[in-house]
Amino acid sequence: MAYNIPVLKKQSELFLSRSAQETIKFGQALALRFREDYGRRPVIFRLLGELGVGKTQLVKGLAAGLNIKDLITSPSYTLVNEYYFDLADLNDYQQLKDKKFISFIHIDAWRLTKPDTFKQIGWGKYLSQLAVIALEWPPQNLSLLPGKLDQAKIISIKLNYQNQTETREIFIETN
Amino acid sequence: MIVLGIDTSCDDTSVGITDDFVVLANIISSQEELHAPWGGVVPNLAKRAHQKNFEVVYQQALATAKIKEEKIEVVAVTQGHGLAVALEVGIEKAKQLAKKLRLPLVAVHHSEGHFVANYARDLNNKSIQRDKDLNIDSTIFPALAVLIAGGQTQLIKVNRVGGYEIIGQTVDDAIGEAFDKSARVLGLGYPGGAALARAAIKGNDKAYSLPRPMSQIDNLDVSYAGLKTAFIRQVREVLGPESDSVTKSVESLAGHLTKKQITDLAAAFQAAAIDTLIIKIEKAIQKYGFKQIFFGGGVAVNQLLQSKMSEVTKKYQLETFFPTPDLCRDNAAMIAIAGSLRAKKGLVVSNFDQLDRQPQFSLSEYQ
Repeated sequence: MAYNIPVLKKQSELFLSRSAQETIKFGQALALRFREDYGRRPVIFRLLGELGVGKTQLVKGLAAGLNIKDLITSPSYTLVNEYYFDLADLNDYQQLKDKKFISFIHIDAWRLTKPDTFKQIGWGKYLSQLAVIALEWPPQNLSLLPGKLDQAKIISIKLNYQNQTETREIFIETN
Repeated sequence: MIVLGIDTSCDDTSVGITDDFVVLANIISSQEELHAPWGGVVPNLAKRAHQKNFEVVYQQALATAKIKEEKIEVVAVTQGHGLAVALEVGIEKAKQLAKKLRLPLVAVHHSEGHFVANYARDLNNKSIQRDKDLNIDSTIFPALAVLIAGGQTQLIKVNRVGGYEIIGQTVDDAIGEAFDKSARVLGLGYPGGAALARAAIKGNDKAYSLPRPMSQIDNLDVSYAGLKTAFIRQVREVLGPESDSVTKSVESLAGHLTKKQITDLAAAFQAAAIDTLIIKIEKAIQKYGFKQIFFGGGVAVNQLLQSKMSEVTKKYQLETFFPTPDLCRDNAAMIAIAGSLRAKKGLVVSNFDQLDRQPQFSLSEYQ
């Protein structure tokens, strides 16, 4: 797999995507960057950016990077969509012999205005399962939510429109 | 067969009672009022409201149907798809009632409910279809079911009642979601889809040109996220230099639009959204030779869709069916009708404890 994996040089990075297709490819590469973390700690991709900027497209890419074949559709109505991937598919890094299924959780938190609602959709459960979580419209402070975050890998992705064009600026920050 | 149906798949708590296809009661406690200040369905409110509303809605259904609960023969409930936390309330209530009344319990797929809603009959045993008498025996299989709502956009090949094949679907956002999100951009509030359709009546759909995403692709899938993004770009173009995308958020754009711009944008969006669907419906007709098309879901009440479909109906010489508005939207009478069909086939839940909500219930796993 010859993906152009972005190299992490500093705390914050900027990338440009010229189309939805590129945003998907970018998400695919980004998912692979954290493969050593999967199954060892919860991994949370916080997706920031306005309506129509391509957050769900990027999640499609993350899922493709995790080798998930399901159709990834918007969780706006259901709030949460659950998928699974097999860590052994990415095992050149972890050298797994057996299958190891990890949950990939896609959440649209636009309507989840209170910490209590996160509890109800199973937020704490997902963290303890060491799930990989793609969180659209995340709350400002994840540590206010119920559930243990101390081990979690948190990647913040901010997508911005560039004036009147297809191009998107994508900022990445990791903890 | 008297069936009690329960649906709590999203923001409405609904209890319906049917006698075969005759709808005796179809009570929907809409939570829209409750949600309006939040600009969307707030889920923990939804769950609490379902619990609070259920008893009231249930008693109202019995009173409307003028029957005592002892007369109920089967309990049917939506198992999925839907909002997980909301679904579980209905399932719990259904189990309790079935145990208390010692009745068989039937688990229904929400999409099947929307399809069979077309067969509903009124208290005079007259088909709810305008100028037509529709029943299962007169259905020409395979038929096409088009389910369009806030959470789904599906073209389903119905081989028989209980045999479904998804032949087309959205690859991202549902059509109702695109209506709601575009309404949000135009400042039309919640629930925005209906408000957008109302605004569109006064607008000129030719004033702006929007794409029909994926219409050139030879499958039956649609993309409403693509249309949503194109729509937002169009709104920014209308505002020109007023709209600096770096500093002005999408949701602040509406404040700068004139009333005419809003109605024209609404009309252009609606035309594109409906066209996108019609293009794929026509492709499905050409590919499978369907003779009958059944609609369901909240977006099926859309007037532009219905008038465009009457053209399609003439062009291909087929029949198109739309349930009445209360049977189009999420409701429990449709679940009761599906429940009676399944109960007659002996498809009942054998172990209540094993019945669990299925938020992403796949239609192909449902037989």
